[in-house]
Amino acid sequence: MDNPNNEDYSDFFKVVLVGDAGVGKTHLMTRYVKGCLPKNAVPTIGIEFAGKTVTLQNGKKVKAQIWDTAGQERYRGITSTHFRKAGGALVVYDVTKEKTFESVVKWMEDLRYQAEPDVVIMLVGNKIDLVENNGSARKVQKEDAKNLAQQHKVLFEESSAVTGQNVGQCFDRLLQEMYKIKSLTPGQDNPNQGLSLNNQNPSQNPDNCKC
Amino acid sequence: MAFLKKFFGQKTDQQSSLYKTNLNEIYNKSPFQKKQISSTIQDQKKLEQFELVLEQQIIDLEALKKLTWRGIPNEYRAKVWKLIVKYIPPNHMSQTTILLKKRQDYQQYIKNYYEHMNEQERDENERKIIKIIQNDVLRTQPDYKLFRDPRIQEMFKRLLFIWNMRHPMSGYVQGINDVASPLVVVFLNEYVPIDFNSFDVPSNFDKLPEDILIDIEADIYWCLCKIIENIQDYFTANQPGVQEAYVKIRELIKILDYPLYQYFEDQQIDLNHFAFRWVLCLLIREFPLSLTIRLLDTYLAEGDEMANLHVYTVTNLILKCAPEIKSKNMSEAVIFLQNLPTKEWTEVQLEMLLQEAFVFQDHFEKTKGHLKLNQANTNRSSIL
Repeated sequence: MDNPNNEDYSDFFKVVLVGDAGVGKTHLMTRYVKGCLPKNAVPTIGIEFAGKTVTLQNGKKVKAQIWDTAGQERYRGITSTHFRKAGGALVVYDVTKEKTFESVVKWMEDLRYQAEPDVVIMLVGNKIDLVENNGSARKVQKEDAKNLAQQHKVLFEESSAVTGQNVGQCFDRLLQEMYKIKSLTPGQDNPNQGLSLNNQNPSQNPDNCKC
Repeated sequence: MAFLKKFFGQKTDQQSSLYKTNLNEIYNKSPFQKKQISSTIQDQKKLEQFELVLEQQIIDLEALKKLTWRGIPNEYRAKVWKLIVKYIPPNHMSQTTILLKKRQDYQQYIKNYYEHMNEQERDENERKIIKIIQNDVLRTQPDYKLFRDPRIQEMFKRLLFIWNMRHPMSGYVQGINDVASPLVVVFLNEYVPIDFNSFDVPSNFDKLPEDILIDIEADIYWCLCKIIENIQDYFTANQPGVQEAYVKIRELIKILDYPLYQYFEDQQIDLNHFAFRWVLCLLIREFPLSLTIRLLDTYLAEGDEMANLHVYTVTNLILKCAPEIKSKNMSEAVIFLQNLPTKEWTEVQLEMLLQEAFVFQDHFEKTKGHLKLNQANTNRSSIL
Protein backbone atom coordinates (compact mmCIF):
# COMPACT_ATOMS: atom_id res chain seq x y z
CA MET A 1 0.00 0.00 0.00
CA ASP A 2 1.30 3.41 -0.90
CA ASN A 3 -0.17 5.19 2.01
CA PRO A 4 0.11 3.87 5.54
CA ASN A 5 -3.31 5.30 6.24
CA ASN A 6 -4.95 3.27 3.57
CA GLU A 7 -7.86 1.27 4.79
CA ASP A 8 -8.50 -2.09 3.29
CA TYR A 9 -11.94 -1.99 1.80
CA SER A 10 -12.63 -5.63 2.48
CA ASP A 11 -12.63 -4.78 6.18
CA PHE A 12 -15.67 -2.65 5.85
CA PHE A 13 -19.29 -3.40 6.10
CA LYS A 14 -20.75 -0.75 3.92
CA VAL A 15 -24.35 0.07 4.76
CA VAL A 16 -26.47 2.59 2.90
CA LEU A 17 -29.55 4.29 4.24
CA VAL A 18 -32.23 5.02 1.67
CA GLY A 19 -35.85 6.10 1.66
CA ASP A 20 -37.99 9.13 0.90
CA ALA A 21 -37.15 12.62 2.16
CA GLY A 22 -37.94 13.21 5.80
CA VAL A 23 -38.42 9.60 6.96
CA GLY A 24 -35.60 9.96 9.47
CA LYS A 25 -32.55 8.39 7.83
CA THR A 26 -30.09 10.88 9.31
CA HIS A 27 -31.73 10.51 12.72
CA LEU A 28 -31.34 6.74 12.56
CA MET A 29 -27.69 6.98 11.59
CA THR A 30 -26.85 9.54 14.25
CA ARG A 31 -28.78 7.67 16.92
CA TYR A 32 -26.90 4.50 16.09
CA VAL A 33 -23.44 5.96 15.67
CA LYS A 34 -23.41 8.67 18.30
CA GLY A 35 -26.14 7.46 20.61
CA CYS A 36 -28.05 10.71 20.36
CA LEU A 37 -30.03 12.74 17.84
CA PRO A 38 -28.49 15.24 15.42
CA LYS A 39 -28.20 18.59 17.18
CA ASN A 40 -30.07 20.18 14.35
CA ALA A 41 -31.93 18.23 11.76
CA VAL A 42 -31.32 19.49 8.24
CA PRO A 43 -32.24 17.80 4.97
CA THR A 44 -29.34 15.72 3.71
CA ILE A 45 -27.88 16.99 0.46
CA GLY A 46 -25.95 14.35 -1.47
CA ILE A 47 -24.56 11.92 1.06
CA GLU A 48 -23.28 11.89 4.61
CA PHE A 49 -21.05 9.42 6.19
CA ALA A 50 -20.26 7.85 9.55
CA GLY A 51 -18.27 4.94 10.87
CA LYS A 52 -18.65 2.70 13.87
CA THR A 53 -16.95 -0.39 15.19
CA VAL A 54 -19.54 -2.92 16.20
CA THR A 55 -19.28 -6.11 18.23
CA LEU A 56 -21.47 -8.81 16.76
CA GLN A 57 -23.29 -11.48 18.79
CA ASN A 58 -20.49 -13.95 18.19
CA GLY A 59 -18.00 -11.52 19.70
CA LYS A 60 -16.49 -10.59 16.33
CA LYS A 61 -15.81 -6.94 15.78
CA VAL A 62 -16.58 -5.32 12.47
CA LYS A 63 -16.24 -1.84 11.14
CA ALA A 64 -19.48 -0.46 9.78
CA GLN A 65 -19.27 2.31 7.24
CA ILE A 66 -22.67 3.95 7.09
CA TRP A 67 -23.74 6.13 4.19
CA ASP A 68 -26.73 8.34 4.66
CA THR A 69 -28.35 9.61 1.47
CA ALA A 70 -30.63 12.42 0.33
CA GLY A 71 -34.19 11.25 -0.09
CA GLN A 72 -35.52 13.50 -2.82
CA GLU A 73 -35.99 11.76 -6.13
CA ARG A 74 -33.92 14.35 -7.98
CA TYR A 75 -30.86 13.12 -6.11
CA ARG A 76 -31.41 9.46 -6.87
CA GLY A 77 -28.80 9.52 -9.64
CA ILE A 78 -26.09 10.81 -7.37
CA THR A 79 -27.02 8.79 -4.31
CA SER A 80 -27.30 5.54 -6.22
CA THR A 81 -23.66 5.85 -7.31
CA HIS A 82 -22.89 5.29 -3.64
CA PHE A 83 -24.76 2.00 -3.61
CA ARG A 84 -21.73 0.42 -5.22
CA LYS A 85 -19.99 -2.04 -2.91
CA ALA A 86 -22.78 -1.71 -0.36
CA GLY A 87 -23.29 -5.05 1.33
CA GLY A 88 -26.27 -3.88 3.34
CA ALA A 89 -29.03 -1.34 3.20
CA LEU A 90 -31.76 0.00 5.38
CA VAL A 91 -34.79 1.00 3.33
CA VAL A 92 -36.58 3.40 5.60
CA TYR A 93 -40.17 4.61 5.55
CA ASP A 94 -42.27 6.61 7.96
CA VAL A 95 -45.05 4.55 9.60
CA THR A 96 -47.25 7.66 9.66
CA LYS A 97 -46.89 8.40 5.93
CA GLU A 98 -48.27 5.92 3.47
CA LYS A 99 -46.53 7.51 0.48
CA THR A 100 -43.13 6.81 1.94
CA PHE A 101 -44.10 3.14 2.22
CA GLU A 102 -45.27 3.06 -1.38
CA SER A 103 -41.78 4.11 -2.47
CA VAL A 104 -39.91 1.31 -0.74
CA VAL A 105 -40.28 -1.17 -3.60
CA LYS A 106 -38.61 1.30 -5.94
CA TRP A 107 -35.79 1.80 -3.45
CA MET A 108 -35.31 -1.95 -3.17
CA GLU A 109 -35.19 -2.35 -6.93
CA ASP A 110 -32.56 0.40 -7.16
CA LEU A 111 -30.48 -1.36 -4.56
CA ARG A 112 -30.72 -4.78 -6.17
CA TYR A 113 -29.63 -3.20 -9.39
CA GLN A 114 -26.71 -1.13 -8.13
CA ALA A 115 -25.41 -2.59 -4.88
CA GLU A 116 -23.57 -5.90 -4.36
CA PRO A 117 -25.53 -8.84 -5.80
CA ASP A 118 -26.00 -10.38 -2.37
CA VAL A 119 -26.86 -7.11 -0.66
CA VAL A 120 -28.73 -7.60 2.61
CA ILE A 121 -31.75 -5.35 2.73
CA MET A 122 -33.81 -4.46 5.74
CA LEU A 123 -37.10 -2.65 5.59
CA VAL A 124 -37.41 -0.23 8.51
CA GLY A 125 -40.63 1.47 9.60
CA ASN A 126 -39.45 4.51 11.51
CA LYS A 127 -41.17 7.00 13.83
CA ILE A 128 -43.10 4.45 15.89
CA ASP A 129 -42.91 6.90 18.79
CA LEU A 130 -45.60 8.90 16.96
CA VAL A 131 -48.05 6.01 16.97
CA GLU A 132 -47.39 4.64 20.44
CA ASN A 133 -50.05 6.72 22.19
CA ASN A 134 -52.04 7.57 19.12
CA GLY A 135 -52.93 4.53 17.08
CA SER A 136 -54.78 6.53 14.46
CA ALA A 137 -51.52 8.22 13.44
CA ARG A 138 -50.30 4.92 12.08
CA LYS A 139 -50.82 4.74 8.33
CA VAL A 140 -48.73 1.68 7.57
CA GLN A 141 -49.72 -1.48 9.42
CA LYS A 142 -46.95 -3.61 10.76
CA GLU A 143 -48.45 -6.73 9.19
CA ASP A 144 -48.53 -5.15 5.72
CA ALA A 145 -44.90 -4.15 5.98
CA LYS A 146 -43.97 -7.58 7.29
CA ASN A 147 -45.73 -9.21 4.36
CA LEU A 148 -44.00 -6.96 1.89
CA ALA A 149 -40.66 -7.75 3.48
CA GLN A 150 -41.35 -11.49 3.22
CA GLN A 151 -42.46 -11.14 -0.34
CA HIS A 152 -39.21 -9.39 -1.25
CA LYS A 153 -37.14 -11.64 1.01
CA VAL A 154 -35.77 -8.79 3.09
CA LEU A 155 -35.47 -8.28 6.82
CA PHE A 156 -37.93 -6.12 8.68
CA GLU A 157 -37.96 -3.99 11.82
CA GLU A 158 -39.79 -1.02 13.22
CA SER A 159 -37.93 1.67 15.10
CA SER A 160 -37.91 5.11 16.60
CA ALA A 161 -34.79 7.18 16.12
CA VAL A 162 -36.27 9.77 18.48
CA THR A 163 -36.61 7.44 21.47
CA GLY A 164 -33.86 5.11 20.29
CA GLN A 165 -36.25 2.17 20.39
CA ASN A 166 -34.98 -0.75 18.33
CA VAL A 167 -32.42 1.32 16.44
CA GLY A 168 -29.48 -0.75 17.61
CA GLN A 169 -31.39 -3.90 16.75
CA CYS A 170 -31.92 -2.73 13.13
CA PHE A 171 -28.28 -2.08 12.42
CA ASP A 172 -26.91 -4.96 14.50
CA ARG A 173 -29.19 -7.48 12.86
CA LEU A 174 -28.31 -6.18 9.42
CA LEU A 175 -24.58 -6.33 10.15
CA GLN A 176 -25.00 -9.82 11.59
CA GLU A 177 -26.57 -10.99 8.33
CA MET A 178 -23.92 -9.21 6.27
CA TYR A 179 -21.25 -10.93 8.30
CA LYS A 180 -22.87 -14.31 7.74
CA ILE A 181 -22.99 -13.78 3.99
CA LYS A 182 -19.46 -12.44 3.81
CA SER A 183 -17.97 -15.34 5.74
CA LEU A 184 -19.91 -17.85 3.63
CA THR A 185 -18.87 -16.36 0.34
CA PRO A 186 -15.89 -18.24 -1.01
CA GLY A 187 -12.93 -16.21 -2.22
CA GLN A 188 -13.72 -13.31 0.07
CA ASP A 189 -11.31 -12.15 2.69
CA ASN A 190 -12.20 -13.08 6.19
CA PRO A 191 -13.92 -9.90 7.29
CA ASN A 192 -12.44 -10.24 10.73
CA GLN A 193 -8.90 -9.79 9.53
CA GLY A 194 -6.83 -6.69 10.06
CA LEU A 195 -9.39 -4.59 11.83
CA SER A 196 -8.26 -1.73 13.92
CA LEU A 197 -10.60 -1.05 16.76
CA ASN A 198 -10.12 2.58 17.42
CA ASN A 199 -13.75 3.56 17.62
CA GLN A 200 -15.51 3.47 20.92
CA ASN A 201 -19.02 2.16 21.02
CA PRO A 202 -21.06 5.15 22.17
CA SER A 203 -24.01 3.03 23.23
CA GLN A 204 -21.73 1.48 25.82
CA ASN A 205 -20.50 4.90 26.92
CA PRO A 206 -23.60 7.03 27.06
CA ASP A 207 -21.75 9.87 28.76
CA ASN A 208 -19.31 10.07 25.96
CA CYS A 209 -21.72 11.64 23.51
CA LYS A 210 -20.22 14.78 22.07
CA CYS A 211 -23.37 16.23 20.58
CA MET B 1 1.65 26.48 1.26
CA ALA B 2 4.83 25.75 -0.58
CA PHE B 3 2.87 24.64 -3.61
CA LEU B 4 1.60 28.15 -4.13
CA LYS B 5 4.99 29.72 -3.87
CA LYS B 6 6.33 27.10 -6.19
CA PHE B 7 3.52 27.50 -8.61
CA PHE B 8 3.46 31.23 -8.72
CA GLY B 9 7.19 31.57 -8.21
CA GLN B 10 7.81 30.35 -11.72
CA LYS B 11 6.26 33.44 -13.19
CA THR B 12 8.49 36.39 -13.87
CA ASP B 13 6.21 39.16 -15.03
CA GLN B 14 5.05 41.99 -12.86
CA GLN B 15 1.65 40.57 -12.36
CA SER B 16 2.90 37.40 -10.87
CA SER B 17 5.05 39.25 -8.37
CA LEU B 18 1.83 40.85 -7.32
CA TYR B 19 0.32 37.40 -6.85
CA LYS B 20 3.38 36.41 -4.90
CA THR B 21 3.09 39.29 -2.48
CA ASN B 22 -0.56 38.57 -2.11
CA LEU B 23 -0.07 34.91 -1.58
CA ASN B 24 2.80 35.27 0.85
CA GLU B 25 0.64 37.53 2.87
CA ILE B 26 -2.30 35.19 2.60
CA TYR B 27 -0.52 32.03 3.52
CA ASN B 28 1.34 33.28 6.52
CA LYS B 29 -1.97 32.83 8.24
CA SER B 30 -3.37 29.56 9.40
CA PRO B 31 -6.72 28.77 7.79
CA PHE B 32 -8.57 27.40 10.79
CA GLN B 33 -7.64 30.04 13.30
CA LYS B 34 -9.85 32.71 14.79
CA LYS B 35 -9.01 36.29 14.01
CA GLN B 36 -10.08 39.60 15.42
CA ILE B 37 -11.88 42.33 13.53
CA SER B 38 -11.61 45.93 14.60
CA SER B 39 -12.49 48.45 11.99
CA THR B 40 -15.15 50.99 12.88
CA ILE B 41 -13.35 53.67 10.93
CA GLN B 42 -13.24 51.41 7.93
CA ASP B 43 -16.93 50.64 8.33
CA GLN B 44 -17.72 54.33 8.32
CA LYS B 45 -15.67 54.84 5.19
CA LYS B 46 -17.40 51.94 3.51
CA LEU B 47 -20.79 53.36 4.39
CA GLU B 48 -19.86 56.67 2.79
CA GLN B 49 -18.59 54.99 -0.34
CA PHE B 50 -21.87 53.14 -0.76
CA GLU B 51 -23.87 56.30 -0.11
CA LEU B 52 -21.95 58.08 -2.79
CA VAL B 53 -22.69 55.45 -5.43
CA LEU B 54 -26.30 54.89 -4.41
CA GLU B 55 -27.11 58.61 -4.46
CA GLN B 56 -26.47 58.87 -8.18
CA GLN B 57 -29.47 59.38 -10.40
CA ILE B 58 -28.41 56.47 -12.51
CA ILE B 59 -26.40 54.10 -10.40
CA ASP B 60 -23.08 52.98 -11.78
CA LEU B 61 -23.52 49.23 -11.43
CA GLU B 62 -19.89 48.45 -12.11
CA ALA B 63 -18.75 50.78 -9.35
CA LEU B 64 -21.39 49.30 -7.10
CA LYS B 65 -20.27 45.75 -7.83
CA LYS B 66 -16.70 46.69 -7.08
CA LEU B 67 -17.69 47.96 -3.65
CA THR B 68 -20.03 45.05 -3.09
CA TRP B 69 -17.30 42.52 -3.66
CA ARG B 70 -15.77 43.57 -0.34
CA GLY B 71 -19.02 43.35 1.59
CA ILE B 72 -22.07 45.55 1.99
CA PRO B 73 -23.11 47.38 5.17
CA ASN B 74 -26.33 45.81 6.52
CA GLU B 75 -28.23 49.06 5.99
CA TYR B 76 -27.75 48.95 2.24
CA ARG B 77 -27.64 45.29 1.52
CA ALA B 78 -31.25 44.73 0.45
CA LYS B 79 -31.15 47.64 -1.96
CA VAL B 80 -27.76 46.69 -3.37
CA TRP B 81 -28.67 43.05 -3.87
CA LYS B 82 -31.79 44.08 -5.75
CA LEU B 83 -29.68 46.29 -7.98
CA ILE B 84 -26.81 43.98 -8.71
CA VAL B 85 -28.95 40.97 -9.50
CA LYS B 86 -30.85 43.30 -11.84
CA TYR B 87 -34.16 42.89 -10.09
CA ILE B 88 -34.53 46.67 -10.09
CA PRO B 89 -33.00 49.01 -12.68
CA PRO B 90 -30.12 51.39 -11.92
CA ASN B 91 -32.23 54.41 -12.85
CA HIS B 92 -33.91 55.82 -9.73
CA MET B 93 -36.80 57.15 -11.76
CA SER B 94 -38.00 53.73 -12.84
CA GLN B 95 -37.18 51.73 -9.73
CA THR B 96 -40.49 52.26 -7.98
CA THR B 97 -42.53 51.42 -11.06
CA ILE B 98 -40.63 48.21 -11.72
CA LEU B 99 -40.72 47.16 -8.10
CA LEU B 100 -44.44 47.76 -7.99
CA LYS B 101 -45.00 45.76 -11.14
CA LYS B 102 -42.85 42.85 -10.01
CA ARG B 103 -44.60 42.73 -6.67
CA GLN B 104 -47.99 42.78 -8.39
CA ASP B 105 -46.90 39.98 -10.69
CA TYR B 106 -45.93 37.97 -7.69
CA GLN B 107 -49.27 38.55 -6.01
CA GLN B 108 -50.85 37.17 -9.13
CA TYR B 109 -48.66 34.07 -8.86
CA ILE B 110 -49.89 33.61 -5.31
CA LYS B 111 -53.43 33.65 -6.62
CA ASN B 112 -52.70 31.38 -9.57
CA TYR B 113 -50.50 28.82 -7.98
CA TYR B 114 -51.22 28.86 -4.33
CA GLU B 115 -54.36 30.42 -3.00
CA HIS B 116 -57.10 29.09 -5.19
CA MET B 117 -55.83 25.58 -4.86
CA ASN B 118 -56.72 23.42 -1.96
CA GLU B 119 -55.14 20.04 -1.32
CA GLN B 120 -57.54 18.11 -3.57
CA GLU B 121 -57.03 20.32 -6.59
CA ARG B 122 -53.30 19.80 -6.65
CA ASP B 123 -51.99 16.92 -8.67
CA GLU B 124 -49.97 14.19 -7.07
CA ASN B 125 -46.61 15.71 -7.92
CA GLU B 126 -47.61 19.04 -6.49
CA ARG B 127 -48.83 17.43 -3.30
CA LYS B 128 -45.60 15.51 -3.03
CA ILE B 129 -43.41 18.55 -3.57
CA ILE B 130 -45.34 20.73 -1.17
CA LYS B 131 -44.81 18.12 1.53
CA ILE B 132 -41.09 18.08 0.83
CA ILE B 133 -40.97 21.89 0.90
CA GLN B 134 -42.95 22.05 4.11
CA ASN B 135 -40.66 19.56 5.71
CA ASP B 136 -37.54 21.37 4.48
CA VAL B 137 -38.76 24.77 5.64
CA LEU B 138 -39.10 23.36 9.15
CA ARG B 139 -35.48 22.24 8.89
CA THR B 140 -33.90 25.27 7.19
CA GLN B 141 -31.26 27.20 9.18
CA PRO B 142 -32.12 25.28 12.34
CA ASP B 143 -29.70 27.30 14.44
CA TYR B 144 -31.71 30.49 14.19
CA LYS B 145 -35.03 31.43 15.78
CA LEU B 146 -36.01 33.66 12.89
CA PHE B 147 -36.54 30.58 10.77
CA ARG B 148 -38.71 28.97 13.43
CA ASP B 149 -41.34 31.72 13.28
CA PRO B 150 -44.58 30.27 11.84
CA ARG B 151 -45.32 33.36 9.76
CA ILE B 152 -41.88 33.33 8.20
CA GLN B 153 -42.11 29.59 7.62
CA GLU B 154 -45.45 29.99 5.88
CA MET B 155 -44.05 32.74 3.66
CA PHE B 156 -40.96 30.67 2.92
CA LYS B 157 -43.00 27.61 2.04
CA ARG B 158 -45.25 29.54 -0.30
CA LEU B 159 -42.46 31.25 -2.19
CA LEU B 160 -40.55 28.00 -2.64
CA PHE B 161 -43.70 26.31 -3.93
CA ILE B 162 -44.33 29.15 -6.37
CA TRP B 163 -40.71 28.95 -7.45
CA ASN B 164 -41.28 25.24 -8.04
CA MET B 165 -44.37 25.89 -10.16
CA ARG B 166 -42.67 28.57 -12.24
CA HIS B 167 -39.52 26.53 -12.90
CA PRO B 168 -40.63 23.20 -14.30
CA MET B 169 -37.15 22.55 -15.74
CA SER B 170 -35.83 21.63 -12.35
CA GLY B 171 -38.69 22.16 -9.97
CA TYR B 172 -37.97 22.54 -6.30
CA VAL B 173 -34.89 20.63 -5.30
CA GLN B 174 -33.67 20.26 -1.74
CA GLY B 175 -30.89 22.79 -1.28
CA ILE B 176 -32.79 25.63 -2.93
CA ASN B 177 -34.20 26.32 0.53
CA ASP B 178 -30.64 26.82 1.76
CA VAL B 179 -29.79 29.15 -1.12
CA ALA B 180 -32.92 31.19 -0.41
CA SER B 181 -32.34 31.47 3.34
CA PRO B 182 -29.96 34.47 3.32
CA LEU B 183 -32.43 36.33 1.10
CA VAL B 184 -35.15 35.90 3.70
CA VAL B 185 -33.01 37.63 6.31
CA VAL B 186 -31.74 40.40 4.08
CA PHE B 187 -35.12 41.42 2.68
CA LEU B 188 -36.89 41.19 6.01
CA ASN B 189 -34.17 43.40 7.47
CA GLU B 190 -35.19 46.14 5.08
CA TYR B 191 -38.46 46.55 6.98
CA VAL B 192 -37.86 45.09 10.44
CA PRO B 193 -34.30 45.42 11.74
CA ILE B 194 -32.77 42.03 12.44
CA ASP B 195 -29.86 41.31 14.74
CA PHE B 196 -27.24 39.85 12.43
CA ASN B 197 -25.58 37.94 15.25
CA SER B 198 -28.48 36.17 16.87
CA PHE B 199 -30.97 36.19 13.98
CA ASP B 200 -33.83 36.18 16.46
CA VAL B 201 -37.35 37.11 15.50
CA PRO B 202 -37.38 40.95 15.76
CA SER B 203 -39.49 42.17 18.67
CA ASN B 204 -41.79 44.23 16.46
CA PHE B 205 -42.22 41.55 13.83
CA ASP B 206 -45.80 40.72 14.79
CA LYS B 207 -46.72 44.33 14.01
CA LEU B 208 -45.46 44.05 10.45
CA PRO B 209 -48.51 44.40 8.18
CA GLU B 210 -49.38 41.43 6.00
CA ASP B 211 -49.13 43.38 2.73
CA ILE B 212 -45.57 44.45 3.54
CA LEU B 213 -44.66 40.87 4.28
CA ILE B 214 -46.01 39.88 0.87
CA ASP B 215 -43.87 42.58 -0.76
CA ILE B 216 -40.86 41.17 1.06
CA GLU B 217 -41.82 37.71 -0.11
CA ALA B 218 -41.97 38.99 -3.70
CA ASP B 219 -38.48 40.50 -3.38
CA ILE B 220 -37.10 37.24 -2.02
CA TYR B 221 -38.78 35.30 -4.79
CA TRP B 222 -37.49 37.47 -7.63
CA CYS B 223 -33.95 37.63 -6.32
CA LEU B 224 -33.95 33.88 -5.79
CA CYS B 225 -34.94 33.50 -9.44
CA LYS B 226 -32.04 35.70 -10.48
CA ILE B 227 -29.51 33.81 -8.36
CA ILE B 228 -30.65 30.37 -9.48
CA GLU B 229 -30.49 31.48 -13.13
CA ASN B 230 -26.71 31.37 -12.71
CA ILE B 231 -26.67 27.88 -11.27
CA GLN B 232 -29.73 26.39 -12.93
CA ASP B 233 -27.92 23.24 -14.01
CA TYR B 234 -26.95 22.40 -10.43
CA PHE B 235 -30.57 21.48 -9.97
CA THR B 236 -31.63 19.78 -13.18
CA ALA B 237 -31.61 15.99 -13.55
CA ASN B 238 -28.24 14.44 -12.68
CA GLN B 239 -26.90 17.89 -11.73
CA PRO B 240 -24.74 18.50 -14.83
CA GLY B 241 -23.60 21.84 -13.37
CA VAL B 242 -22.19 20.13 -10.32
CA GLN B 243 -20.45 17.53 -12.48
CA GLU B 244 -18.93 20.29 -14.57
CA ALA B 245 -17.74 22.05 -11.43
CA TYR B 246 -16.14 18.80 -10.27
CA VAL B 247 -14.14 18.50 -13.47
CA LYS B 248 -12.74 21.95 -12.97
CA ILE B 249 -12.06 21.46 -9.27
CA ARG B 250 -10.19 18.21 -9.95
CA GLU B 251 -8.05 19.86 -12.59
CA LEU B 252 -7.28 22.78 -10.30
CA ILE B 253 -6.31 20.56 -7.39
CA LYS B 254 -4.11 18.55 -9.70
CA ILE B 255 -2.25 21.70 -10.69
CA LEU B 256 -2.20 23.48 -7.37
CA ASP B 257 -1.58 20.63 -4.94
CA TYR B 258 -0.59 17.45 -6.71
CA PRO B 259 0.16 15.53 -3.48
CA LEU B 260 -3.40 16.26 -2.36
CA TYR B 261 -4.72 15.06 -5.70
CA GLN B 262 -2.65 11.90 -5.30
CA TYR B 263 -3.89 11.47 -1.75
CA PHE B 264 -7.51 11.61 -2.91
CA GLU B 265 -6.73 9.03 -5.56
CA ASP B 266 -4.93 6.71 -3.15
CA GLN B 267 -7.69 6.92 -0.61
CA GLN B 268 -10.36 6.62 -3.30
CA ILE B 269 -11.98 9.79 -2.04
CA ASP B 270 -14.43 11.17 -4.51
CA LEU B 271 -15.59 14.78 -4.62
CA ASN B 272 -19.11 13.42 -4.28
CA HIS B 273 -18.19 12.21 -0.82
CA PHE B 274 -18.07 15.72 0.55
CA ALA B 275 -18.25 18.50 -2.03
CA PHE B 276 -21.70 17.90 -3.47
CA ARG B 277 -23.42 19.99 -0.82
CA TRP B 278 -20.64 22.59 -0.92
CA VAL B 279 -21.14 23.15 -4.62
CA LEU B 280 -24.90 22.79 -4.78
CA CYS B 281 -25.78 25.01 -1.82
CA LEU B 282 -23.15 27.68 -2.58
CA LEU B 283 -21.34 26.75 0.66
CA ILE B 284 -24.30 28.12 2.58
CA ARG B 285 -24.48 25.06 4.82
CA GLU B 286 -20.83 25.29 5.70
CA PHE B 287 -20.76 28.74 7.30
CA PRO B 288 -22.76 30.56 9.94
CA LEU B 289 -25.63 32.57 8.48
CA SER B 290 -23.94 35.95 8.93
CA LEU B 291 -20.99 34.74 6.86
CA THR B 292 -23.14 33.23 4.14
CA ILE B 293 -24.72 36.64 3.71
CA ARG B 294 -21.26 38.13 3.41
CA LEU B 295 -20.32 35.36 0.97
CA LEU B 296 -23.31 36.20 -1.20
CA ASP B 297 -22.22 39.87 -1.35
CA THR B 298 -19.13 38.76 -3.23
CA TYR B 299 -20.86 36.06 -5.27
CA LEU B 300 -23.62 38.40 -6.42
CA ALA B 301 -21.06 41.06 -7.30
CA GLU B 302 -19.67 38.55 -9.78
CA GLY B 303 -22.89 38.60 -11.80
CA ASP B 304 -22.86 35.90 -14.49
CA GLU B 305 -19.45 34.79 -13.26
CA MET B 306 -20.81 33.77 -9.89
CA ALA B 307 -20.65 30.03 -10.54
CA ASN B 308 -17.11 30.41 -11.78
CA LEU B 309 -15.85 32.14 -8.65
CA HIS B 310 -17.76 29.58 -6.62
CA VAL B 311 -15.73 26.78 -8.22
CA TYR B 312 -12.50 28.52 -7.26
CA THR B 313 -13.75 29.18 -3.75
CA VAL B 314 -14.67 25.53 -3.25
CA THR B 315 -11.29 24.52 -4.63
CA ASN B 316 -9.54 26.89 -2.26
CA LEU B 317 -11.48 25.50 0.67
CA ILE B 318 -10.36 22.00 -0.27
CA LEU B 319 -6.75 23.18 -0.54
CA LYS B 320 -7.02 24.67 2.93
CA CYS B 321 -8.09 21.31 4.29
CA ALA B 322 -5.05 19.57 2.86
CA PRO B 323 -2.80 19.79 5.95
CA GLU B 324 -5.62 18.47 8.12
CA ILE B 325 -6.64 15.55 5.99
CA LYS B 326 -3.41 14.22 4.58
CA SER B 327 -2.67 12.42 7.84
CA LYS B 328 -6.10 10.85 7.94
CA ASN B 329 -7.48 7.68 6.42
CA MET B 330 -10.43 7.74 4.04
CA SER B 331 -13.19 7.61 6.67
CA GLU B 332 -11.54 10.16 8.92
CA ALA B 333 -10.88 12.53 6.05
CA VAL B 334 -14.43 12.32 4.72
CA ILE B 335 -15.88 12.83 8.18
CA PHE B 336 -13.64 15.88 8.64
CA LEU B 337 -14.61 17.29 5.26
CA GLN B 338 -18.29 16.74 5.91
CA ASN B 339 -18.05 18.59 9.22
CA LEU B 340 -15.66 21.44 8.53
CA PRO B 341 -14.69 23.71 11.39
CA THR B 342 -15.83 26.62 9.21
CA LYS B 343 -18.84 27.23 11.48
CA GLU B 344 -16.31 28.94 13.75
CA TRP B 345 -14.85 31.12 11.04
CA THR B 346 -14.75 34.88 11.18
CA GLU B 347 -15.52 37.34 8.42
CA VAL B 348 -11.81 37.98 7.95
CA GLN B 349 -11.18 34.31 7.26
CA LEU B 350 -14.04 34.14 4.80
CA GLU B 351 -12.82 37.23 2.99
CA MET B 352 -9.40 35.69 2.77
CA LEU B 353 -10.88 32.55 1.26
CA LEU B 354 -12.66 34.64 -1.36
CA GLN B 355 -9.72 36.84 -2.16
CA GLU B 356 -7.44 33.88 -2.65
CA ALA B 357 -10.08 32.22 -4.81
CA PHE B 358 -10.18 35.38 -6.87
CA VAL B 359 -6.41 35.33 -7.29
CA PHE B 360 -6.65 31.77 -8.60
CA GLN B 361 -9.56 32.60 -10.85
CA ASP B 362 -7.83 35.64 -12.23
CA HIS B 363 -4.71 33.65 -12.93
CA PHE B 364 -6.31 30.61 -14.52
CA GLU B 365 -8.94 32.41 -16.50
CA LYS B 366 -6.31 34.70 -17.99
CA THR B 367 -4.07 31.83 -18.88
CA LYS B 368 -6.70 29.38 -19.97
CA GLY B 369 -4.08 27.14 -21.47
CA HIS B 370 -3.16 26.00 -18.00
CA LEU B 371 -6.51 24.54 -17.49
CA LYS B 372 -7.64 22.57 -20.46
CA LEU B 373 -11.16 21.78 -19.70
CA ASN B 374 -12.45 19.09 -21.86
CA GLN B 375 -16.15 18.51 -22.01
CA ALA B 376 -15.48 14.83 -22.45
CA ASN B 377 -13.92 14.81 -19.02
CA THR B 378 -17.31 15.34 -17.49
CA ASN B 379 -18.19 11.74 -18.08
CA ARG B 380 -15.03 10.12 -16.91
CA SER B 381 -14.74 8.13 -13.73
CA SER B 382 -15.79 10.08 -10.71
CA ILE B 383 -12.69 9.20 -8.74
CA LEU B 384 -10.64 12.36 -8.37
